[in-house]
Amino acid sequence: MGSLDILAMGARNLWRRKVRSLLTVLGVIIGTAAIVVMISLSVGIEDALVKQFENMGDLSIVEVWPGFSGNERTMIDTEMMDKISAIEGVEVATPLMNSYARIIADRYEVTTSIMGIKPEALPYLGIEISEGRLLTTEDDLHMLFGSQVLPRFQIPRSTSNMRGGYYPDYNQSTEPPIDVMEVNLRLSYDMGWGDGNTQYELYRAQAVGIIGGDGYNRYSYSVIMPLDTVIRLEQENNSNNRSGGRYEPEFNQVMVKAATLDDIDHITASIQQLGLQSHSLSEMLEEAKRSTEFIRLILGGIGAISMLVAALGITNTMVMSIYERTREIGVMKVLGAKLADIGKMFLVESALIGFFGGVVGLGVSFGISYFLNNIIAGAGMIGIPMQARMSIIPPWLVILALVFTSSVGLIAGLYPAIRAMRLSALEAIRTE
Amino acid sequence: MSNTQIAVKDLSKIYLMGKERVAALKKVNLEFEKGKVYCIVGKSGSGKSTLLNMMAGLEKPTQGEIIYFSNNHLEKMSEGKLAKFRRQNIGFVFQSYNLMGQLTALENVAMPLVFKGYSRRIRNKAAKLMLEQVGLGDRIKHKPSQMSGGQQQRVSIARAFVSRPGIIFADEPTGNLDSRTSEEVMELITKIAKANGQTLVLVSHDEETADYADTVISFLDGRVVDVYNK
Ligand SMILES: Nc1ncnc2c1ncn2[C@@H]1O[C@H](COP(=O)(O)OP(=O)(O)OP(=O)(O)O)[C@@H](O)[C@H]1O
Ligand SMILES: [Mg+2]
Repeated sequence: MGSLDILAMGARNLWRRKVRSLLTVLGVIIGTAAIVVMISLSVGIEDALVKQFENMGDLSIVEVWPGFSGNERTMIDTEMMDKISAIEGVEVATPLMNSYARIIADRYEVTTSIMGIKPEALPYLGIEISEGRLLTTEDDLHMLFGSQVLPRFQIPRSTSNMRGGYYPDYNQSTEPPIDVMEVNLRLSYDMGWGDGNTQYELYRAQAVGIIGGDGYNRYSYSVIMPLDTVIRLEQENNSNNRSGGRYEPEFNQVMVKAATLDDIDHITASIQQLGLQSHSLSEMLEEAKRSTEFIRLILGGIGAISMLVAALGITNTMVMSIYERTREIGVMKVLGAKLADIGKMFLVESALIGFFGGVVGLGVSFGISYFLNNIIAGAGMIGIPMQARMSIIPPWLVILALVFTSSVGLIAGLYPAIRAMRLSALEAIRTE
Repeated sequence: MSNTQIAVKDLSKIYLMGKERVAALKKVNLEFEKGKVYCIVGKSGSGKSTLLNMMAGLEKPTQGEIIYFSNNHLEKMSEGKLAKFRRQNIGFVFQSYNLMGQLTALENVAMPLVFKGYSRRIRNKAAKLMLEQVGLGDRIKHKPSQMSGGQQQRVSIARAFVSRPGIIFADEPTGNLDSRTSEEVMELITKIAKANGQTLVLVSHDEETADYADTVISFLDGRVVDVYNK
C-alpha cells in the first residue's frame, strides 16, 4: 500500500467524523497553545533578564583577581598574565595596573590615580570617548583623562610643602580650569612627601582623549596610560627599584575579553585552575537564568497537562473509531491488507490530528503572544518596560511544537493501532 | 492428482465454549481441482463456514493440513504470511456483502488493488472494467446505500475477482437475495470463474445453487457425508 494511499485514507476517515475529529483537534489546539504560550512567557522573562545584564556591561568580559585559599595567595605577575592570555578563547587580556602620579598643566596641577591598560584592550572595556581618541599601541606618554579628573586641576596653594590638589576641594567649580587637550603636560612621581633629596624625573606627556559617557564608572577618576609605559614609570620612580632591586610588577585586577560568549565557561574554569578569582556578568546571568528555570518548569508543566489531556482525547477518539470500524477492519484483513498497513492507517489518523492541532495551535499561540505583547503590555497593565517583550516564540519553539504534537498524536495512536492490528478478521466480520 | 489445487487432510476444528468442546469439523479430507466449481451443502451448524474460513486462512485449524499448490501449508503460516497469501491468491464473497459504506462502488472494487500497491490509475481502470463485467458500468459512482442487495452483491463479486485470484470463496452469496436475483448472481459468478479458469468454492443451502456446481460436497455434523461429481 502506497504512503499516499494511507495518508488519503486517514484524512478521509477523519473527514467522515468531522465533528468528533474537530473536537479532538480542538483539544490539541488548546494543549499546543497552552504549552507554547507558557514557554514563550518564560523565554520572554529570560530575554528581559539578558537585556538587563547587557545594559550592565559587556557579557564577554571576565574580571580576574589574585586568588586566596587559606594562607596561600596566588599573585598575578607578568608570567601569570602570559598564562591568562594563552587560555583558549581569550581575545585579549589586560591588567588594570594602578599607579599614582602628579600631572602638571601650565599653572595647574592634579595628583591622580594612573591606570595602565593595554591599548589593544581598550575598545572592549566599554569606554566612551567624549573628545579625542582611545590610546593606540603607538602611544607612550599619552593620556586618556577620566572626566572627573579634569575639575580637580588646581593652582597649588603653596609651592613649598603642600603641593595641593591631592585633597579634594569641595568648593571648586565642576568646570575644568584648563583644556588638557590643548596644553603641554608634565608628569611626575614627586608627590612632595619624599625626603626632598630624591630627584624625580619630569616627563613630557600629552592628552589624547577624554572619557565621557553618562555618569561615573570605574575609569572616571583615573588617567589611563599604556600599560608598558606605566610599568616603565614604576621601574624608574619606585624607590625600592632605584636602590638596585629588580622590579616585578604585580597586578590586582585583570580584564579578560572572550572571543565569544561560548568561551566564557571554559575561560572561567581555566582561570580558577590557575588559582585566581574571577567574576563575570555572564556567570551572574547564568545563575539568574537557573533561577528562571523553575518558573519555566512550572509554566511548561501547566501546558504539558493540557497536552496530556489532549493526547488522552486522541486515544479515546481512535479507540472509539476502532469500535465503530471493527467490521471494516475485518473486511480489509480478509481482502489481504498487510497488518502494518492497517496499523499505519490508524497511526496516520492520530498523527494528523496531532499535526493539524499543532499547526492551528501555533497560529493561536502567535495570536495570544501578539495580544500579550501589544495589548496587555502595551497598555502598561503590567510593569514591563516597553522594549522587552512579555512573550517570545523563537523558531526552535515552533519546530519543537510541531514535532511534539505530531509525536503526541503518534504515541496516542499507538495503542489503538496495535488493537486494530490484533483484531481477528473473522470475529470482526461476525459482529453485526 | 496433478490437477489438485487445494488438498484438505484430516482437518479438525474444535471450539472451546467455556468447558464445553464443540467439534465443528471432524477429520475432513477433500481435494479441489483448478478451474472447477464446488458447492458445499448441509444443515445449519454442520461446519460449512468453518471449513471455508479455514481454507481462506481466516482461522487456524485445531488439527490437520490445508495444502495449496502441493507445497504451501496454510496451517503453518504466520498472520502476515496469510495476509500476503490471501492478497495474491484468494477472493472472498460474503453473504452480507461487507462493502465499505463511505466508498463508491468503484473504490470498493479497487480496494484489494490498493493493498497490492497499484497506482490509482491502474486500479481504477481495472475496477471499472470489472464493474462493467458484472453489469454495473453505470453505477461506479454509487455508494452501497444507493444500490439494491443484488447490485451490492455484484459489487462484492467484482471486488473478489478484480485482482484475478486463483481461488474464490463465497459463503452463501445468495443468502440475502430473492430467487430471481440469486439466479442472476450465481450465473454471473460461475461465468466469470469459468472464463478465467478460477476455482470457485461456494457454500449454500438452497438446492438451485448446487445446479451451478461441478461437484457438490455434503456435510453433516462436521463430517463429509457425500461428494457428488456431475
Ligand atoms: N467462534 C465459534 N465459537 C464456538 N463455536 C463455534 C464458533 N463458530 C462456529 N461454532 C460452532 O461450530 C459449528 C459449525 O458452525 P458453522 O458456522 O461452520 O456452521 P455452518 O454450517 O456454516 O452453518 P450455517 O449454515 O448456519 O451458516 C456450530 O455448531 C457452531 O456453533
Ligand atoms: Mg455458515
